Amino acid sequence: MNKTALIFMIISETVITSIMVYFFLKVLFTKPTPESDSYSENNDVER
Amino acid sequence: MSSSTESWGTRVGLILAMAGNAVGLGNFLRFPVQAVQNGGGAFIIPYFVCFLLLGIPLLFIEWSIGRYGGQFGYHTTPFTFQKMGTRRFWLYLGTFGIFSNIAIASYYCYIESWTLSYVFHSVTGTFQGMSQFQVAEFFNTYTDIFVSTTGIPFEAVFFFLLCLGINSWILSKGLSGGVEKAAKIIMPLLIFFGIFLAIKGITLIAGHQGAVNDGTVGLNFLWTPKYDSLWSPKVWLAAAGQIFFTLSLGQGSVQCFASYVKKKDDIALNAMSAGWMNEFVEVVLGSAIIIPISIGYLGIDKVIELTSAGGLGLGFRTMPFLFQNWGPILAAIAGLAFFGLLFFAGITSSLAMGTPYMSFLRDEFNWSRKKSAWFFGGSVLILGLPTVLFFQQGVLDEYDYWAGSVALVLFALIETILFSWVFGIKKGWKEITSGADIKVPGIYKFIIKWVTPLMLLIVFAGSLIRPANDEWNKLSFNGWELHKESIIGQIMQTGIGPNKDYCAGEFYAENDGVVDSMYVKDNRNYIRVSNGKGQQSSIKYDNNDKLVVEMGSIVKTGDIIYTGKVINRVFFIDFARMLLLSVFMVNVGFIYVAYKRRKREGTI
Repeated sequence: MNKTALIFMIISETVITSIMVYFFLKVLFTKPTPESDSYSENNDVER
Repeated sequence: MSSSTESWGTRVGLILAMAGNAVGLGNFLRFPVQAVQNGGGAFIIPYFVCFLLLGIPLLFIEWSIGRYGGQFGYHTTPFTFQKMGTRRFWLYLGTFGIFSNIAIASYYCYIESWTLSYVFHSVTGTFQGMSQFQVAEFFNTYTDIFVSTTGIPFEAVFFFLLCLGINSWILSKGLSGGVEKAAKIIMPLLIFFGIFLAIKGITLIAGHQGAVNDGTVGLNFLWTPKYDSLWSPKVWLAAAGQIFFTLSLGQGSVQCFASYVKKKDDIALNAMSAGWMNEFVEVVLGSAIIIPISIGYLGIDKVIELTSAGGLGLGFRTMPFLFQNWGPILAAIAGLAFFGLLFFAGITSSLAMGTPYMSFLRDEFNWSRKKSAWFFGGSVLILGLPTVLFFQQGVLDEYDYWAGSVALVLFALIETILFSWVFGIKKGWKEITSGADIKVPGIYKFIIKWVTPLMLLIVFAGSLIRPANDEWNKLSFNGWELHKESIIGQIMQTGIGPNKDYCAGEFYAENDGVVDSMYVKDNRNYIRVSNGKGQQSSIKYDNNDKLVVEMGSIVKTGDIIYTGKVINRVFFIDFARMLLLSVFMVNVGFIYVAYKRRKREGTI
């Protein structure tokens, strides 16, 4: 691969993968609010 | 009126379902081909700019509209639009949010059924020992429903029905029990298959297993920037178009999924997470599969020629042949992984297309989940059958153009104006940031109000008046020749050629050239007219027709090829358009009835 193509590819893919991982981890580790939310599996009572 | 008790099971489930909605066949077949045709690595620059200025704002807008409507029990765009815009015409403009889904699903499920069938054929070894021509011909035979490749009568219809059955069954299980559960299983599998094929693609070594190039030659070709292409409006329009397709924007499915999120819950981080997951699948995995593998075996020139017909051709006519180079077992595994990957990508999107239609029926007519899911399946079957029966007459392309391209841009423009200007950016911004788990950059307030609508207007206007050969410098007040795929060009049917009548007594040549082949295949007669520069057309005729030309005849566009009873392509094109228009009007009718019911019951 030529240098420009390699740089282009590595930068693009690294940026995209990093942002994707960052947002997904943020979703995983953001604590749910104490009040009831949209997600039924968080509920205490069986639906 | 709404009696819906649907909800998402988990936040991760919602994000995977939303990412699954976005990740589709286009991520693997359309994106790499668009990149090849529009400047290689430099395509990524307009693509990213469009993602930041068009994709992300529209994701915020659609998630916000959805969650806003959900507060009032509206899970589809018509009534949400009316609530936001207050005037009655917004209700009917919201029809696009239901219409596009059903219209796109009707041909998308057919393409999805090809992937299912190709998984079957890959695993059973149908492609073993076939030449490249035979594999390409297999696709033509498959889409000719009167010829069976397996002995199953009407095979294409059988797989289409199977695919619709799977979709309807999953939909009938509901949001968390069906769509979300499917996404949680499918998305990790899809990424696994994608990584397997990407590794196979980029580790190809010239001289091994029949490869003529290393896998990195394809990557080099794809990622080498051609900066001059940055000045071409064609490249920018292609990048904007790709962003629409890839994020499933302007369709109504994002709004529907988001309508099941509560007012105080985050949408900003959810939108970003799902959106960037789609970008990962598209740019990182999508660019490392079909182009490196096909260039590895066929060389750059051949792949450029093949991509001129689009990604579907490369995927279905060529890939099964290339996998054969890896030996029978690996070829079967690769076929399973590749077409399985496409099937997974397709089904998560088609499930998202089914949800708005089901939600509308459940909200407005109190239908049960099961009844609305199977009604959706039945509607897709009726509307999709013409694409199956008349695929080779261009009905699928017609659906794709109007429902899968034009309607999306138009609807995105409508919803952006509604959100930013009618509902108001102040209230809109509050909707986006309410409950947000991330800080949304303030610049997006300006972008959503000014830049996104302006870009959408440019994209729509550009699509209306696109010049022939994409020669934008030829635009002038004295007029210019329109591209046959411009909206006006399509309406005026500029690309139809000499066979303009629905029915005729003669069939005319559609390109200059020489009759260089006459053959019989599957009991059908064909002649081929080639001009020696890659342009060729295969013309099918019946035994009762009388050929006017013979082998070696030199023909000019408009010369008579044969006489007999001819039903021209233009008939099927207009038929498809009338069908789509009728579906739109039927949906408007449904919405009118629902409005009257709500009015009577005092729920609006």
